Amino acid sequence: MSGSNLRVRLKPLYTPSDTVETRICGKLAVITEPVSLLGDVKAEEGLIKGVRVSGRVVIMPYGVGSTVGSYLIYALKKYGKGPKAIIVTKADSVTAVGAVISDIPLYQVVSSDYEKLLELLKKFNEKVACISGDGGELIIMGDRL
Amino acid sequence: MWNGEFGDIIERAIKAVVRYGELMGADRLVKISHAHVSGISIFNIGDAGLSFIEDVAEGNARFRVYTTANPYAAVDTTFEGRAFNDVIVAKQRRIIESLRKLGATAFTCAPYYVRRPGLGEHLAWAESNAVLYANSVVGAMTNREGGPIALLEALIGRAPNYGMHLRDRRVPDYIVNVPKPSNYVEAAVIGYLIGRLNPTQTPLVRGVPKGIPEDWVRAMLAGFGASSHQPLMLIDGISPDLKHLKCLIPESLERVSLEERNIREFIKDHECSTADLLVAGCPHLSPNELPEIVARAVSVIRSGKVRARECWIITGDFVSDSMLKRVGALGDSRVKILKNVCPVVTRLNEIGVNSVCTDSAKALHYMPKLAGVNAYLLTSLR
Repeated sequence: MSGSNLRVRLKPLYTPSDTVETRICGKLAVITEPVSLLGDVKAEEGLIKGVRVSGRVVIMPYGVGSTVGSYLIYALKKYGKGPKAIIVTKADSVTAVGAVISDIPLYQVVSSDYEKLLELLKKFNEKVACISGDGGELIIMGDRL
Repeated sequence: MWNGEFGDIIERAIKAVVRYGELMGADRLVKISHAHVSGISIFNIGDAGLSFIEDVAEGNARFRVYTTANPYAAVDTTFEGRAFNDVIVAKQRRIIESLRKLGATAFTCAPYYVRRPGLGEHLAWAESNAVLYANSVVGAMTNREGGPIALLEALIGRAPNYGMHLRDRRVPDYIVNVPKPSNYVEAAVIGYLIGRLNPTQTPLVRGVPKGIPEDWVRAMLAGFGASSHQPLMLIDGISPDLKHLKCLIPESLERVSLEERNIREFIKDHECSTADLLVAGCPHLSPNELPEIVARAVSVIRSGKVRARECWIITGDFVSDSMLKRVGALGDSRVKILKNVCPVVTRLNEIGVNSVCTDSAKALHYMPKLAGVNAYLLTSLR
């Protein structure tokens, strides 16, 4: 990890027991608008708002709308299209419940200007990023590990 | 239960409920006596919800407390002989079977007729009209839970202790004076318009006359639930919480008024003249209402006062078969009495229904989006 990597502070909201102290790496999937999980998720295709999320570290603002949306996160996982981790800028119960029932690690960004951060991160969509073992940091590595 | 000795599903349910509780600011979990699960229509939850509910039911986990569920999509009903496709019917049946296996005892949006909770009882209910009835009429304590979380709470028999479970949160944010409703539809519209005034605050409603029929109160609460996010409407003369709150309500609370003309204009703007289908029973009709509504529906359909091809009247299993037989005999083949289903969460456009007239402000609100039909207000059933 070189010092020039972009780092974002995180706080873990949910970590399945088997991922404790394990670094989670994957391509970054950046979603800049709040997600209405029921409607915005195409589970069989592994898409959220048209962004490919399967096997990726997803960063998004938060979930809105029907509480049934939690089931869509479960469906993503069930179809083998689930993200490796989800990072939200604001915690919401629909995404939280979805992550826990699907055993997908969930984190929250610790930052003051979420919109600016997501705008900035947009440039790093599909770049490799890792969440540190303690869940305290997202490190954007660039094109490869 | 934390260590998974009751099985993986239960462990996950506890984690999800605790996580959710922490996000909502709960200090602990509270034992509940009755859970009510929503989100069981195949049109609403799709394959995603079906697979989750089925996966939960496949294991040994069962509901730990008395549990009821919302009504399901009316997939077994035909409209002028047109039926839903077999795939949808089969999937809806699988959802119902899984919920039965888990221990759900009834499918209705009026669970308070199946098991009436007691004053101060803690519940985890996830159907807005039922939540509002429990808090505002019975004085029981439940938040307005989401469908999936209520299912998980049913599995562990506990809910996070926040919001409506705390006595000091069951207080009004503002006072609204309402005109006296002269029928069921007006009561429904009053509730709906109160919710539109301020969807995120708890009203103290004044002006509801003593002795108003319970079904009108249910209509008002259901309308309010459709336009508001609140789990509680404090109604002067009705809500048990007000008995010990009376002297604690500050005179400085903001006051607003609904006028009779607001109600009349709304009804006029949405008035029904002709429709493919008439719907009554959102929320499910009580045993009290049923005979009269069936009689009126038959007369409306026969007289052509409102031109419609069919009328669906919806209730739950709490209406006895003998009563159904009795009121059914009044019937006309175009008037169908259905149990345990909800046309609002049924894609009616798939069986050729394009327009619906209903006496429910809640159905009026949700049907365009959820049922795929144009919806209008029907006053002649009431």
